[in-house]
Amino acid sequence: MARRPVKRRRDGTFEVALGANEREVLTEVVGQFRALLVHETPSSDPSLQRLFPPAHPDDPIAELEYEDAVGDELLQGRLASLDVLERTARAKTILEPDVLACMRAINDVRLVLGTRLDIREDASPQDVSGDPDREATFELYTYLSWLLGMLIEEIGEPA
Amino acid sequence: MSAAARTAPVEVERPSAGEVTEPDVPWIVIVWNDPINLMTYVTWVFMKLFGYPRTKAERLMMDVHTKGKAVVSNGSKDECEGHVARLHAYGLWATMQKDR
Repeated sequence: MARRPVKRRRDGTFEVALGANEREVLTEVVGQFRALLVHETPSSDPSLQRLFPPAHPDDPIAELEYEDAVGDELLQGRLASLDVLERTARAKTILEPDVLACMRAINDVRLVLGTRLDIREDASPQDVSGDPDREATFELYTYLSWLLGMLIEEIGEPA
Repeated sequence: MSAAARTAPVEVERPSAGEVTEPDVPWIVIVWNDPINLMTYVTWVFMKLFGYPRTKAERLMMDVHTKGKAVVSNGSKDECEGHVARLHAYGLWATMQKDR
């Protein structure tokens, strides 16, 4: 039976069954990603563009209004989800809203890593072989994809 | 000339200069395909945000995946901006436009 990194208990809470190395990796990822969100913008780091896509790609004025209205809220929401993922990496038990926040944070990191890797639908390790940095990024991307898939399976149908 | 044309002209309210009259065109929200978001995740987000049953959420997800995009909701401009913002919060690539 496949290993379950997070397990729903009968009482509705979730057991965090991550290994020590996974907890370490997630904590490190959160730190790096938070620094990226705080210090960079989609203009200074194109890998962030995927996190803040335009709502009105053909209407610059409407787009500015949209960014004014929700840009900061989206950024603060992303930082709050990262905080939950960081706490989860140290926790034994979390609640359902924490699982949802972790899903969002993990997916955000995947979006940035996938953009940096220029990932394709049928991405394989061969695409990055020969470049140790890209190999390591791809390995992390693959791990986070697996983890997200497991969380989706564990959370089941949305409430 | 028809009889109606000989009747007294009726006063109509005209928009003042600079006032833009916008017909009540509904807006649509479009989600675009990307190679990063997991199919299971996209399905889950459609169910979570819009309350769609799994069959509808999976059909929309497959439309996004195979056709490159899908209209996932519609409504007023404000409603659609709310939907787009929530989709962006979940990392989906969503845009909106008038449904012409």
